[in-house]
Amino acid sequence: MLVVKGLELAYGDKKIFDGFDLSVSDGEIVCVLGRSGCGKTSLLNCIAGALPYGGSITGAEDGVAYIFQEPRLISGLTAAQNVKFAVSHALKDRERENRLIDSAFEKLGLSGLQNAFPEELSGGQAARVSLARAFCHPSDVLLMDEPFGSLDIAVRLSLTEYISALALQRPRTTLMVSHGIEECLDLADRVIVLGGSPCRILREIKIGERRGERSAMPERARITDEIRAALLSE
Amino acid sequence: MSGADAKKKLAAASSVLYPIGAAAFIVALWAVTAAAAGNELLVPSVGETFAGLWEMLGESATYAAIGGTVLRSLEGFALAFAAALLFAAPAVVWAPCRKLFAPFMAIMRSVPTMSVIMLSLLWATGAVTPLIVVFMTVFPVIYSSFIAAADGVDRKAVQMAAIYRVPLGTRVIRLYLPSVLPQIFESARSTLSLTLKITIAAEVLAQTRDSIGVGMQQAQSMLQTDRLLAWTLIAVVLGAIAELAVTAVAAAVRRLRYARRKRA
Repeated sequence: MLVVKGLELAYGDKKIFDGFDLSVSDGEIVCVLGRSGCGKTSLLNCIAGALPYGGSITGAEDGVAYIFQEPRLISGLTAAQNVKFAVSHALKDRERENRLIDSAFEKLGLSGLQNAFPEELSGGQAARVSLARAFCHPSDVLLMDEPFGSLDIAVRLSLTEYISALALQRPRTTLMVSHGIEECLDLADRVIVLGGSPCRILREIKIGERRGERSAMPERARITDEIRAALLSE
Repeated sequence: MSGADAKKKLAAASSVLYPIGAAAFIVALWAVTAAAAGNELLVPSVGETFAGLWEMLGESATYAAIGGTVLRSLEGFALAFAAALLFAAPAVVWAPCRKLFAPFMAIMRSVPTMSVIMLSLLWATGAVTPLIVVFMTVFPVIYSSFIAAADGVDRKAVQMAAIYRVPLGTRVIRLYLPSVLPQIFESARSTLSLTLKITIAAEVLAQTRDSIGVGMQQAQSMLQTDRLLAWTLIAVVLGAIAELAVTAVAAAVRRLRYARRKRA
């Protein structure tokens, strides 16, 4: 279980978090919505250990898999080597690693691009390589910061399905920052709306329906309205 | 022939034709100046200088001087390069280290080369002086280029590697080195010629045995301007060879890394 307790973070005089609490159960997918600059990415960075913070965060001590807003690929390495760069030390088993990478590349529509360099990939392909990097990492905690930002609608839909399938196959404690209400409704077990200064949870909505059966969910419109209202309430 | 092939051939021809054109211009300018001066002692003709060069190339002392100067330059450069690497590594990863080194580097950069030569002459022998002078002059330049190269590494990729807890060795080999190598080669290319120039200047003042510097000074004191210019030509050619050698090594490393990556 990922537990954030009494989180404190400030940039200069501006307090981003001042006693912020959040817990995510094992295998649960929590989507985080909120206005730009409210602290969503900072929250992920604190959990990932990339920012110094006050308070305590437990459940991520063994490391995290992180999908950034940008692909963050290393230009001198091929697509497959970029994935290996981040996961080899954690997997330690070369055969398993190759199998995982081949499978991720196939499912993400990247077959045949293992040996391509980042400059030979389109923006969407590079973004998918960064998804493969996170999906191949064995960590039980997955952090996603607007993972679909640079992808077209078709790829976005197929990736939403892929993540849903992956969540069933291997549940991971997941925190996903997003600007899209629709993808949150498709993926999340729980949606939280952040806002205010310092940042706090404005609204928290549990989604009971099984993933994959949510497009016809009767409460979809009502939940969407609730989230909109929370986002606009500031 | 496709358009791309034609462009490649044109680029290859240009890379040969432009230097030849520049050299021809310099020789023409030299010939005109020599004719205008009308005094072989002041400005020897192109033919006279090349005749002097030919004569020098027949003397074993010339090769001993060239070998001595090249060896001293390379020793000084290697020392400065290794020391810069040794100091830049902690300065890159630990900010207080960089702050601590900064005033020393500033002092080394601003100390006049002539002061270093004079002091070295007091404290060391003629053979060691060029080494000290090269080290004191080139070390801060290479150190600064290492720091700039390391600062140029993609910060976001560095953060990604830290979050994924990639081991330091893997980070250095796969992230830092590929990013800094091109700049390190570029820095080596430009500082090697500088090293040669400084070595020769120091040799003149330190009266170092078996050196181009002393060869130049002897030619000047005997009013052998053709030989003085011939030594200058030799120094220019050595500088060009050094630059070409570094460029070739850089290209070979690039090709090797690319081939390895594609094979992996």
